[in-house]
Amino acid sequence: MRAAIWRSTLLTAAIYGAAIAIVAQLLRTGTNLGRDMSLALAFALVQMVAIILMVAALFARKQVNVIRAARSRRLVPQIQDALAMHAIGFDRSALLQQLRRQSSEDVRQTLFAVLASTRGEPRDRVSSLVPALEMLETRGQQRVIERIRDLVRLGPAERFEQIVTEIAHQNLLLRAVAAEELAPHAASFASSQIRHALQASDPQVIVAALEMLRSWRRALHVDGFLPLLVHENAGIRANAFLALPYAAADATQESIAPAIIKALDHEDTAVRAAAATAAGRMRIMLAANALGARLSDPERVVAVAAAFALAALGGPGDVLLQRAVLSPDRTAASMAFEALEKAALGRLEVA
Amino acid sequence: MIVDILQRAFTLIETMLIVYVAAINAIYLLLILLGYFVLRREREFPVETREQLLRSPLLPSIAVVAPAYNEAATCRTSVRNMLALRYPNHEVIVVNDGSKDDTLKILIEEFKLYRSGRIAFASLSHQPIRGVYESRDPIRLVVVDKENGGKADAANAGINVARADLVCIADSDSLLEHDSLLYVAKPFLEDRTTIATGGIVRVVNGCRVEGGQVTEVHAPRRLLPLFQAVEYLRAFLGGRVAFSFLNSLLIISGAFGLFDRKAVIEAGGYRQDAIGEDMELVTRLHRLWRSAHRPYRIVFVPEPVCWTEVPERMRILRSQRNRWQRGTVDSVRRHMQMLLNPRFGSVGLIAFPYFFLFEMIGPAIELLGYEMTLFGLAFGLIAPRLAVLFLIVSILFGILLSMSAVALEELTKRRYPGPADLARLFGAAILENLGFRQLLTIWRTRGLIDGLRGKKKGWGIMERRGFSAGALILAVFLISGSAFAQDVDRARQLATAGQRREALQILEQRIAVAPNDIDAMTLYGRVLSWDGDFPRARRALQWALLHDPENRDAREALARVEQWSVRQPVVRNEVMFGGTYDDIQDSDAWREAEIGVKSNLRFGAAVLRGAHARRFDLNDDQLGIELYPRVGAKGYLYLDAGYSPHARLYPRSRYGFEFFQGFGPGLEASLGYRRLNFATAANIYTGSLSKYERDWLFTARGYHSDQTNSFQVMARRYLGSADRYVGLHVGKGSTREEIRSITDLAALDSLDAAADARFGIAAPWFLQLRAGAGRERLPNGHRRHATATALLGLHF
Repeated sequence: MRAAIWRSTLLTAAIYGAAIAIVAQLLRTGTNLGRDMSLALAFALVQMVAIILMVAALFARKQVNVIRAARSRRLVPQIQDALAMHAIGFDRSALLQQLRRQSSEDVRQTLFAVLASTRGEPRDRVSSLVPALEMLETRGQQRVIERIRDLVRLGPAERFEQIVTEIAHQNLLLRAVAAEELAPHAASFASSQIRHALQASDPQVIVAALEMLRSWRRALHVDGFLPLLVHENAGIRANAFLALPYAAADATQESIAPAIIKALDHEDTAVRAAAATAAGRMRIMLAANALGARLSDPERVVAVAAAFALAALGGPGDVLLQRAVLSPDRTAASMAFEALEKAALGRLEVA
Repeated sequence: MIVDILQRAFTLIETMLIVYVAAINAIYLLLILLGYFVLRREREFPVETREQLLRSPLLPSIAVVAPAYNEAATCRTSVRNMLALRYPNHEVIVVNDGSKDDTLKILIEEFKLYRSGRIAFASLSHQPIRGVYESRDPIRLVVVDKENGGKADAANAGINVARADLVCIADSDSLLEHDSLLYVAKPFLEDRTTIATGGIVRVVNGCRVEGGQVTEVHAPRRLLPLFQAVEYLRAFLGGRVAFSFLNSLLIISGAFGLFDRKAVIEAGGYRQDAIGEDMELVTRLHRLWRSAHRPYRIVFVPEPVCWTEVPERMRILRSQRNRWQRGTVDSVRRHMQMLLNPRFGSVGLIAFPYFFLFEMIGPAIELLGYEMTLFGLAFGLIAPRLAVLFLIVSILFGILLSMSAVALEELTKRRYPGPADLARLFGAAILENLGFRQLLTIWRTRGLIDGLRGKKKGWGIMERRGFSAGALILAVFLISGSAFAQDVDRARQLATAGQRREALQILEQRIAVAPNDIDAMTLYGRVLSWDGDFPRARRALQWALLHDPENRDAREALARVEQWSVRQPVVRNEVMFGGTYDDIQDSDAWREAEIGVKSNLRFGAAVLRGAHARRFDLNDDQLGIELYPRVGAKGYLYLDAGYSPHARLYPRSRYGFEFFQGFGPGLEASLGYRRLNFATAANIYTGSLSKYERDWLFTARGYHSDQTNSFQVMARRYLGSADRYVGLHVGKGSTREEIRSITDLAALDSLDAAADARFGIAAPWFLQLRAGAGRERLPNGHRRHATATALLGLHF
């Protein structure tokens, strides 16, 4: 894309420069003007022409938009008719190909609108048109989003693994969109489908699946989730703690606490902070002392997470915080004070 | 020999200027083309995607840090606007930078704040924090109250208190689009190496604003903001898009920028002593990341995310541009080692040289170009036709660039829906090149000089009309504003008429009810200084400067107080030199170079003047002296004598006198006589009537000679002192202030219009300019003529 932008820019600049040179030469040969005068005059003339062309192009574009809108108004009913006929069993693929050549975007939008509103056999017939009409685009970021969306429309449950694998190496924007796209279907995924993704050999696929669990914010039971809390990959481990309240909602304190306590001593800041957050959210009382020790963590992000987790625990957590308030470590004391204050105001979510 | 050397030097400088102009134009064109092709490939978020992202918990958290200083009037609306931004995880941190008004009190009451135990996460340096407040309501608002230290200092405090992944530094008085955070966060989502992003800042003047949001976008109706709207489009859609594409963006607007919190802390935060702290920080980020060979991106987001009110008054705009220019100078100087240093890649080899050559010293070179053209014309070194053509090319190119920016807006973002708005923007794109751009060049040159001299910073004074002021506020403003203006005007009239006691009484009453009225306080200090009450004058002017450090009137008045109070004799001499070029249709041009020395003596001013003129291949010289002795309390004389040894163009000798007498409130009348001894002597009788009205001087003057009568009127606006003014002369007959030559006599029966101006460019230098055109009646028809004078002066 960068090369294309450079090419277009330099080509336009070269045309502009060449136009000036040509006009200057014409003026010199056609009149008795000197070099400086002819060059200056050529500049002036070309600039004026450029201004006129630009304004003309602007208004031409406005006109083209009007024409396109009119064409859409004309084509969309035809596309809808063709799709409806195809859905009930009359083959209209040739006509739709022809319409696609006229306006691919109109066909695409109408096709997926019809797909979203049909079920059963008609839906299967229309969805068979998607590959035939080459509607699954693969270029550019927006195209990837459209592709994910299309895959979800074609069947989220069956294609979960394909979607997770496809977006695992994409950027955060695409991963977030994919997660939101799948969110309405989260309840329909079988635990085995998610487990399969969480056991992938590619760590990126596991992280993408964990991010999805976190995005959906639904209490699910995912088999084989707890081993991820002690995964050797720090990224996976941190994400597992963040997804823990959703993926292992029915897990017992005893089954989770050892992993949390161990993670609170992990060398990676993100893991420690995520473990503290998970301890607070899941109210893991057994982790209270380990959280108390983290109040003096050199990384303030961990210390704050620990303080707020203790405040969320209440009882023993409060006692530890009150002790910390009186401790000589002023940073720990301030964190503890703030957490107690927020707990009293019911504002623990602002950590 | 000397002439030959001068001519060669002129040709060399001229060639360099042409190369410079060609380079700057080529680069601007390239930037705007690059901007266009980049924008063409930019795709906005479809609504569906945007809504999905706004629900996602995966997005990085953002802390919006808004430094505020004396924002009592607008803080409620702006904080509500920031809290209402659509983003899944953001908090607002308002930093009250030691405001002297009720900003903190209003925030505490309005948002139910309590003093929180929250402590800083980082340790960027800043003035001491007095307290951190958070809201009891379920809103994510933090207010940091600290001692005054400036915007950069306040931003550092906000960054320290922030805990989010990203920090957004926003002006508390700008309007943010609802989805602006998502738009500027987009590059962070797309590429994890992104460390900073900035959004497009647009002009809100003329738009309809409701509930802190822009509901209808319109181009400004007033000319000054309209010009700035085009300027903003050109700067943002052209330059910044292109530099962002090259990963060499050196400026992220201080009004709205998003940074990786850890990156900013690692870089050391904002420099409190930097004038353009936003540019300085971004440049430093480039420098640090490139030095460490770490991959990074600093991205410009061409979405309309922030709306700001631009100045509608020249004084404020001048002050703003001066500050911006000083900021550029400051940033460039601090990171000079990046210039042409291949270690810094495209930043060192493209962006930094661009800023140094075109943004920093560009205005001075442009001004030099204008001077050189006038000089060349005056001495016949440039053909007038070629000079005019180059001027046309330059203006056309400016129009082309400005119109391209407007077209770019229409082709990509299309935020201005109405054809009338588009037409206004196109109109402004043409008109701004016919004076406004040149005015900016002068102001920026002044800023460059101030920057090089190391002038310090302060919170910029921005006079805002307000976004949501309803009819009631407007009415109150108009009533109180006009009453206040009347008070100050009346006091000014009385003071200039010698009734200082009455003027001081009015001003004291005014200041008692409005102690923040800078104009009234400045005038009060000035009148006190005229009365010789220097200690009180000094206090008043220092107070005015405390509240408005950019106020030039107060600064100049204070400088005078310091000068007068040490009882030094008021001797202010000046020397001026320059040239005049009169282009006369179908005839040879009149070229004149002159030098004059003016001295303020005990009895009044004296001017010694020498002039050299050239026309019809004839050269002539004239030496003259003018005296202005005072006569009585309100009167003075004008005495003039001149001699030309060759008398080829000037009269052999010249004499004149005129008596001026002031009477009544600001009125002055004169009667005088001139005699020009050509082969046949010309006797001219003249008289004038003048009226001083506030900062204005209106004069009507008539000349009667043996052959003809002429009449002219003049309006002059003084800009703070007698040394700075702009004026307009219109007349039937010559509009030269003083008849000195045969050309002036020939022009006696003509229709003329001229404009003149005198202003300081960098103390002790000043510039006096005059340009005009007219039509003379000849026995066989009419003849056009145009004249331009440029004099460069120096006080000593």
